[in-house]
Amino acid sequence: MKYKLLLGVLALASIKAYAVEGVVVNDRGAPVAGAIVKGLSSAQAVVTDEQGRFFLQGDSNEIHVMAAGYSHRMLHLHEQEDGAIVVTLSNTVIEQVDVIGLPVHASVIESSVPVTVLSGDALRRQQAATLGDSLGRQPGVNTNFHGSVASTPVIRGLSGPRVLITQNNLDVSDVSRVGPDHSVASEVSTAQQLEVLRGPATLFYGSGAIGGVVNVVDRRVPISSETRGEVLLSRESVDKQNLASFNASSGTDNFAFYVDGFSRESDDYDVPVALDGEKTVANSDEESSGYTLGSSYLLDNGYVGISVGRLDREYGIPGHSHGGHEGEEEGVYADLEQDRYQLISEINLDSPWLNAIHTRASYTDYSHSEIEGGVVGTQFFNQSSELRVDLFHRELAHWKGAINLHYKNSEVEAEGEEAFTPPSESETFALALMEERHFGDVLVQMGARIEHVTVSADRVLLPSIEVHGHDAEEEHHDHGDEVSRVFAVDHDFSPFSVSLGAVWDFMPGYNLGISVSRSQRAPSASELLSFGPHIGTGAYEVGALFALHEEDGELHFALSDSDFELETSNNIDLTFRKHEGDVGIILNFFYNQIDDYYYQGATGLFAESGHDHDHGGEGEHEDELPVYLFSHADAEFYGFEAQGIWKLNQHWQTTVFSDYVHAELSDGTVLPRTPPLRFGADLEYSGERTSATLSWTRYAKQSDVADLETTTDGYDMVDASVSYRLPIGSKDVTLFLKAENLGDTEALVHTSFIKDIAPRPGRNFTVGIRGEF
Amino acid sequence: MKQQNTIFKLQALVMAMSAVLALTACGGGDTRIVEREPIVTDDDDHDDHNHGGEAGGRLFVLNSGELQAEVFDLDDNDLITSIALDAIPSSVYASGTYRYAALIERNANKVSFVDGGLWQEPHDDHFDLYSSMPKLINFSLAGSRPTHFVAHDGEVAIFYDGDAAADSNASVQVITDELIAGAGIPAQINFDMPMHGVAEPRGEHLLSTIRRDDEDSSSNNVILPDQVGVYHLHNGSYALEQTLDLACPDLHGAAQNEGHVVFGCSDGVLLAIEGDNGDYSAQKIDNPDSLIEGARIGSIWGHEASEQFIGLASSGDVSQFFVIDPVLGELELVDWEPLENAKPVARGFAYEAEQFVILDNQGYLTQITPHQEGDYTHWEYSGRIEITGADLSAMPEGANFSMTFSQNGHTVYIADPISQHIVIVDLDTFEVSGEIELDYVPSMITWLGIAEEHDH
Repeated sequence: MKYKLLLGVLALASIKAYAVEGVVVNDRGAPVAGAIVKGLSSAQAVVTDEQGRFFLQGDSNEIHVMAAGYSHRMLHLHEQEDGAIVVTLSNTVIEQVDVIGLPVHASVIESSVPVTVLSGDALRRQQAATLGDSLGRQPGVNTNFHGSVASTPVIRGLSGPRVLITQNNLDVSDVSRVGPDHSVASEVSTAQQLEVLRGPATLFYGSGAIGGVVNVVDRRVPISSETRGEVLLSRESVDKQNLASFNASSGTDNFAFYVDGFSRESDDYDVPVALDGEKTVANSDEESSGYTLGSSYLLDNGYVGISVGRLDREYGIPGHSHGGHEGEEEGVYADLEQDRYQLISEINLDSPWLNAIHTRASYTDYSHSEIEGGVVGTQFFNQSSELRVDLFHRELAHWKGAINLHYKNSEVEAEGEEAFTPPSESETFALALMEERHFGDVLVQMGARIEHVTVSADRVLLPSIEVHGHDAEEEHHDHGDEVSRVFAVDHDFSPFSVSLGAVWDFMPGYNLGISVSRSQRAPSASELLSFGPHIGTGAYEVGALFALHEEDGELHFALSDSDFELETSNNIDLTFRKHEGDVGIILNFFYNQIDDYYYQGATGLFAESGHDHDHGGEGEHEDELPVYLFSHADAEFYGFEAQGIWKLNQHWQTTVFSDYVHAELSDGTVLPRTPPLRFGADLEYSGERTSATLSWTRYAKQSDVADLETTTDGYDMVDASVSYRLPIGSKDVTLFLKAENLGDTEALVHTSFIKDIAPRPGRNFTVGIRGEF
Repeated sequence: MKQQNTIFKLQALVMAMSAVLALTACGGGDTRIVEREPIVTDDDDHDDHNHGGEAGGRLFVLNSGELQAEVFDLDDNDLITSIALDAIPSSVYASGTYRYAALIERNANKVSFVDGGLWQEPHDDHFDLYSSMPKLINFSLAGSRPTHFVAHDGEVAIFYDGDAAADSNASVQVITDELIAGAGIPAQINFDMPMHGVAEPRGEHLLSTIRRDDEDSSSNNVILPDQVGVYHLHNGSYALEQTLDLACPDLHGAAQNEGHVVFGCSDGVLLAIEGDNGDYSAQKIDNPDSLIEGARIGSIWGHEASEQFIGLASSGDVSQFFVIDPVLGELELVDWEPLENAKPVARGFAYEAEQFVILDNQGYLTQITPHQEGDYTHWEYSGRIEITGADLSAMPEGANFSMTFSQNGHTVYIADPISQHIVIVDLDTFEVSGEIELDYVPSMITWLGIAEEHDH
């Protein structure tokens, strides 16, 4: 009976050996057609018919039922009596989609950790050329906007090696975690949904996920042979972007096939206020294309499939240009290539031990070259392989869960003048256990993960660079033999993460979540081993392996004496959700205390970049960069995300949201590029054929700034969109018009490394057509 | 049975969880660091890459006594490195774009090169500047008795005199710095007899001396050629296109500027004038009356920025400089007001041809400068400074002062073997502006680096 209370289900259910049947109705008793009913495996899914009926093959202890506009339902089939199941869905204003990135079935309202999913029309409306910009309006997520070409998401003020980007739960395997000018090697226009796990997710993903995870989900490994597809053509005004993308799947009884492709081309984008006399951001153009092919073998108890994907991307790197003669700018652009192979399988088992085995494996070969005037300046390579195996055990004393085995290997290499990190190999073995159980109205989720991480680098260089302060009289350069010390470095880390959470359905349609976690992260190779100029961040970066020593009044770098601590996050998340009825509310509060937070501290010193970016300028230190040294100190992050949705009537709905994060080191130093307070509102209309949105976002002024950082003014962004579904048979063809930054407001992005040279684009109109079949 | 199963599964779960918890003790790290052989930067694989020409250049100084060379950084006058040499060169020149020091080992029939380590490479609309550690490179040229080394506009023509005793004939090789860097094979002209000749590279053309059979030659000293041939480069090899119709008896010394190539003859100077179609016409300027008895113009200097050439004629203790004006067809004596017994040991147009400076064996640097009078440019004495206070009798045997011009500033460097230092003279102020101390007798010096672009 407790499950009936817990889930608000009016059900008489049966546990049949090899099939489950039932009917889905709404809370007025009317059948819900088109609801998706899933068993444990996502392959085990059916859609209800006109009468709301479903018949699910295979054995399952639980079913998940979801339908547009209704709150997601999960039913436990324990101790149910024979008979057809009646599932009652309550209407909701909160979009509820299954989170693929969590190993256990969950939707946004069922998890103790805060999750956001962007999918369907909302995804298409917000998709941008880069991942960060696509997610930049999600609660708790900001973009580190890098001139429209290379943004990555900032989750609760954390980014870089703390936010893991995954593609179908597998590491995206690029070098975007190392530099803000490195694009994320994943494409949004062909993706099915974007998932954001805010807060520590090391339990599921390991070291790189201490700040959160962004999972890009597509159907590259198809799970059904249903024939469906999507085509999109659009044109944007601000950067003359043309985009064409499609994805389609089909198949036979046993085989499913998938194909997608996209092509995008854009020019430098316009800005409202001239920069250096030009109302465009120089070198912000982009050209990319890619395709994916996938195929699966469909089994009675699951599927196994593989996919091959190719991504090519060429993009200018704003702010990374060499002045040519007579003031002409010569842009540096990046040429990125990636081949990705994935194997995904979900097999349901009839074993006394295990319910199912989910396997995900990938091999990715990534390279990108930074090209200056036709000559390759720096090349980055990342070859990685990964294997995740989730073993779902049979329910034990009502605990359900899985053991996760995880292996990841990544060989990263950089060659050329900005190769600031030595070649390194990082290897991770991990074992994790995730369990959940309902105790009455309370769902308890817990888990632990032990990892073994090795970071090996054969040739870590410590060049004898000259560093000096700027007030000191410039010394003569010593051109004697320059000696670089060479080290072979092997780091072994054993991060351990543990998490305990609970979701209490204290009354129907409401819940309260709490999640307490202690997560550890091994510092990344670039944080440990870097030594060299990094033009993308405008810094001479020195890893934590090194420290400044003073000898005879002269400063030089030598090996650090201090230990390399694991970064440890102690995080508390509180979540309140009202998820049924015409008003939906989600509130999250978090407090994250991080011990040994690795950060780059300004040393006040300067070193030669080895790369003069200025021709004949008179600047005193034109070819020098400030030296930043990675070190660790305790840090504190706290903040909130709030979202309220009110359905005014059948056609109109309004949403308000706000988020905030405060980030500082224990000595009170504010961390740089922390997102400002933000709030906003949307008004949405959805008619039979026409739908429209009007949205407003206010970014407050950010005056909590780090040393050497400047404050950033606040600004308002107003966007609007209209779409019209053409009356063409059963096909769904939609024309849309989208307007962004209607006020043509100059907007500097505080989270960007290049906020002063690359503000957000000016007023932009997008016109396009989208078809689904 | 079912009951048992459940209990067993429960135990398994507990075991799995406790296994995980037992590992909590491992939440730490361990680092092993092994230091390896350090890398001493030989910048070949780590070239500093710069844009623009702010580097001050480098100075190659030959230490004949110890069979080695030193290279100094002229930004701060600090020693960059010492380089052991295989042989003592008979002369040292800078290569076409001043990257390399060419070491002419005349008696060894070889030309070796020291990479000065400063160069630039074209990169779209600008040049990227590179620097590396100077070193003796593997590349060398072979030929019989390399002697005259003429650089023009990035090209160098090395004239190999040949050796009658060894039955080897004269030849010319044309090289560029790119060819040296790429260890390429130079285009070559082979003659059928030895001669003490000279060749002037001019892009697709090359003007070389030609020695005729002794019975036809107008030269008194028949090892000296008396004709000039115009060679044209086709597919990497030179073909004789034209032989100038005026003879130049006892030809010695040559120079060129934009429109003219001048050769010294015993009876005057021969002008080769480039026509619009790339053909050359010949003209002769006879020796003037002011030329002293027994002398002839045997060395000539030219500069792109000067229409006029300057030639030197010497006899006994007298050294005369003449302005050669190819447009007016005149030779005019320049009174350089020489001190007693002063013999020029080095001279040349300084930077942009605004001056011509003469270093003499008495340790003085004399400056002559052009003065416009109507349409004619006269050259006149305009100053002199003493560059050594040392007793000239203390000059080590076989040594002499030597001089090299900076190609990116108004500076000359003079090696003083007596005081064992390099004197730096600022030509703008015509004063000694600095010195580089040495602890050996410098025998030859040459400036290396990146020459400043001139507006022609």
